[in-house]
Amino acid sequence: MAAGFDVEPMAPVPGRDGALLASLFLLVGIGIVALWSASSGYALSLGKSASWFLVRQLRYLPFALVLFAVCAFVSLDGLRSKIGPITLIALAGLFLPFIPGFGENRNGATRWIDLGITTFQPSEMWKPVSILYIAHIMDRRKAEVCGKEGLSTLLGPLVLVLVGALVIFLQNDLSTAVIAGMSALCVFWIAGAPLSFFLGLAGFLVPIGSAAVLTSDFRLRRILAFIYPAFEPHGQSYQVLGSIRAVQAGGFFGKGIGLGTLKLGSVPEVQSDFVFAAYAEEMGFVGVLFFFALWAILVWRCARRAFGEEDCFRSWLGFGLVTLLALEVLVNVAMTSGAIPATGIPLPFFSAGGTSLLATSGMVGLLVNLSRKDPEMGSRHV
Amino acid sequence: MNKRTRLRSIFILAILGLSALLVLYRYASLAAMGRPGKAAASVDMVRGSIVDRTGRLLAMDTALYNIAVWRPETDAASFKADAGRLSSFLEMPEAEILDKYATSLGDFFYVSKRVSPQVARSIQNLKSEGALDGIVVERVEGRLYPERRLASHLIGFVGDGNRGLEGLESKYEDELSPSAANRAALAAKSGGKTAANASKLAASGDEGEALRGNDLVLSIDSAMQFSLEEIARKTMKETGAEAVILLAGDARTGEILAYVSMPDFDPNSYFSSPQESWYDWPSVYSYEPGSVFKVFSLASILDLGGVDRNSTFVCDGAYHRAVPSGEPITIKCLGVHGEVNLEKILEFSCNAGAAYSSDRVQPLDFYGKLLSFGFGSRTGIALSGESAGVLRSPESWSLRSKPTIAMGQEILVTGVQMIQAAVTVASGGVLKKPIVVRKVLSPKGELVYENQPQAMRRVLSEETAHTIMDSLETVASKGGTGWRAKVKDIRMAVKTGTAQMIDKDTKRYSETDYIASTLAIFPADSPRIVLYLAIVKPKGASYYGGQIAAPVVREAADAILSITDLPRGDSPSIEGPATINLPRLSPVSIGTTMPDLRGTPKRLLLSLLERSDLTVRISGEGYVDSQKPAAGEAIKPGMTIELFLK
Repeated sequence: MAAGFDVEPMAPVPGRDGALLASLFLLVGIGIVALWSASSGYALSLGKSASWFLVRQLRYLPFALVLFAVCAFVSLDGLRSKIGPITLIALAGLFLPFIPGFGENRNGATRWIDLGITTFQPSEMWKPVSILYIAHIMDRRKAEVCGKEGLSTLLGPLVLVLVGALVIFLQNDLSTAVIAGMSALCVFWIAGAPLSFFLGLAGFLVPIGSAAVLTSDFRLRRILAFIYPAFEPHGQSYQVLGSIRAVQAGGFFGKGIGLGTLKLGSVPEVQSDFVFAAYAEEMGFVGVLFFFALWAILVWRCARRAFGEEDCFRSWLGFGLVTLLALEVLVNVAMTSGAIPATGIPLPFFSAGGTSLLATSGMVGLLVNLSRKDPEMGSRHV
Repeated sequence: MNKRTRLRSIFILAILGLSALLVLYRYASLAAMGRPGKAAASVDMVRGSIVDRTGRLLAMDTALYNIAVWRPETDAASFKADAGRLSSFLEMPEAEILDKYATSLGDFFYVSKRVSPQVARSIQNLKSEGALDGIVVERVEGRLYPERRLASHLIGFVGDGNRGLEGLESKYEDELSPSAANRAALAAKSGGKTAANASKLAASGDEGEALRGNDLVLSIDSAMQFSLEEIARKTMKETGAEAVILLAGDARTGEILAYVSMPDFDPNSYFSSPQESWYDWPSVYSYEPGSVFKVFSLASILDLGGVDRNSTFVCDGAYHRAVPSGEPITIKCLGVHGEVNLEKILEFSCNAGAAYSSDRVQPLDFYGKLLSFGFGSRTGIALSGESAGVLRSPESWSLRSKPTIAMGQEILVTGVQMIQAAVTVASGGVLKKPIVVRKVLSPKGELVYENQPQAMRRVLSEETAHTIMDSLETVASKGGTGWRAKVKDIRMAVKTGTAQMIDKDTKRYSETDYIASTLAIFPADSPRIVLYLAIVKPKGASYYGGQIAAPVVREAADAILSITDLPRGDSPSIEGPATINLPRLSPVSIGTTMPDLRGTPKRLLLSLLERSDLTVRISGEGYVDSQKPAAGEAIKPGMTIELFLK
């Protein structure tokens, strides 16, 4: 375990992947501290106790741990055998927010369903499930995928991905729709779908995407606010401006944990999508670098495992999941620094939000599962 | 994994890695940029104050509160009731709050910004009783204008982050906001210690102290400003005018003592006044001055030697001039004034006489003199957006231009230019820059910069200036057009004017829109005050300067005489050196025992309202008359302190 960071040969790693687990647990730990530090001032300003957001988040932790354990030890073959029903349930879930009385509308977006005790965002679950499904179906049809009749075999899975993205888009969540679609398409890509497939898709999607942005006042305003930050000084860009100032204020070495001040009033809702601003203010660029390094290790370990994997399904699933995580991280962190327009993508392990935590736990559980040595020999309990 | 898959995977990893590097570079450059600029005024930065010439506070930093809503904590049904409560506290329509709730994009939105500590406290109290879920009270560094509307156009106001947006607040942003040196000191304090920063820190001295901007000391006299504003407000009402400009200047130094622009606004809540009310009429608006301008045109002609005191012209009701080729030029006069000399031209405001006088000087000389009076260029009064007016050069003059300008048309001026020119005549012919900021003081009270009265250039000979002043005194006599402006027991030089405004649509002179104006200088024998009034678009029965503007000037002059130390009539005047030390009053604080607060002005009590451990009730206006508990009693947390003002 301690030797986890050593350079190792390209052969499959026996047993657990120490480096992967170490970076994973470090990220979880830093995430919890960052969330607590970032949200305490804001919670106080709302008239709550300082640890209010943290306690709320920690309530999900037992469930997240259980889900992580299940995903880490479940038999992937067993999972594959039930992939049909799982995909259908996840897809059906996407429609739930539209059912009156069940869905909850917040600020014009219908992304959540109300479970009584808590709310739930089905699109968070759809993302990993769709990757699981595409990896499965590509593996089953891998003989045809690269062949002449490839395009027709690809059409069914593609329609599923597009329907999922469309429903998420109709929930008024363009950014999640884009990330879900892109990560699923990555699996198509590495599974060897022909270039003509992607070119055709681009010709089809680019006009639609532009229309999606331009037809919504809400999205247009976000894009405008991105280009002209003063356009909406009290609206979306107010968050982004506050966030940029927090990052700037952190400088290279940060102000120290708990000592950030700009988080107090400058970044409304800092606990959800902008936790990283508070982290950057308190930990500085050095902390940002450390964060990137942890993710780089995580991605690298998973990609390495996928490279060495003989089984196509396992290889593609691992690669797809880690790409999805990396995309979420990059989009959130880029947004926090004002490099891209504001979107509603939470930062895995950092942002407050139960569904995101559960989905992330499930994904890293699967990644840990994949990282373990040799499916033939070891953990094959159903 | 086959080769193709591996290549494609590496392609994806490369894109991800490249993006990660770009984002990382973005963070590195943000970190290298250092501390955020002034937009991020943080708690330990205090903007400098603005005080009048007597030290009275006109603008100061204080804690204000933003009221916001965090939607997830609210309940749509109960929010309706909460909106009702909020609307009564915030004095905004309930429908507006509900509309924001329904249409705002984010989970977090502001209902009202920069509300007073009292309002914030009321909301906070309700919250502590368990009501108003999801309503956020956020403390921000705010700007308080204790005298409210007083000199609002001059002072201006600040926006988000306490950054100056208008008036002196904007023009003197670099002085008022914690200075560059202070900012460097802050950066050095909190980590980024470069050698340059450290030396600046050493120079700027003490740590621990809040970083303050410099203070501005204005030339404005608040008492005078206040009574002239009252008079201008009343005039607006009585005449139904679109705007009123009323300026008072020190005839000896060029300092502006009162700067009134109506309509006005309260800079504490500038956003709730119509934007038109922010318009700075005295500096920004340019217009044809009409007959008041004859003071300066005739002074120019006299000084150029075109006429002397005894030159006479015959007014038969119009000015006539034969032109070698074409139609003779005729300009109508308002009356038949017969034989007129300089004094009579001014006394009757004779257009023909002024026009004939202008025939005696060359266009270029005349133009040069008017230029040196400051017409056609900005006065440099420290306000942004100042207009230069319009004085065209002789190449573009028609044959009518010279006589027309002599009557105060075909030239656009601003109120501030008129005061500057009037000070020139009143002070013996030397032009002085108008001054509104007397001094800039450092946070420790040291002089950073002083605006000394500046004699720019001699425009008129002393003799010319005195001749004009003498003539203007006759205008104020019975029979002159300006008699209504005369205060009985003081010698006054006066000139009135009525200018037709140019209709924006037809580009011709309007039959209904006028600017009635009056200029007064007193005491005429040793001028101290220059007073200028312009009423834009009066709607009443009369629009003549001599009828509606002159009485207002008398009222204003009367008010100024009772405020200043100017001798009236035969009241004795004692001259001699005297020093008055004005204590720099500091806000009241209450420790463990109750101090004697009797006689304390209200503005110094405001800081008490921020105390969370005491309930302070202040009733009445003015100064503390009585207090409960009495002086010397012990103060315990939770106590209620009552102050009655009179």
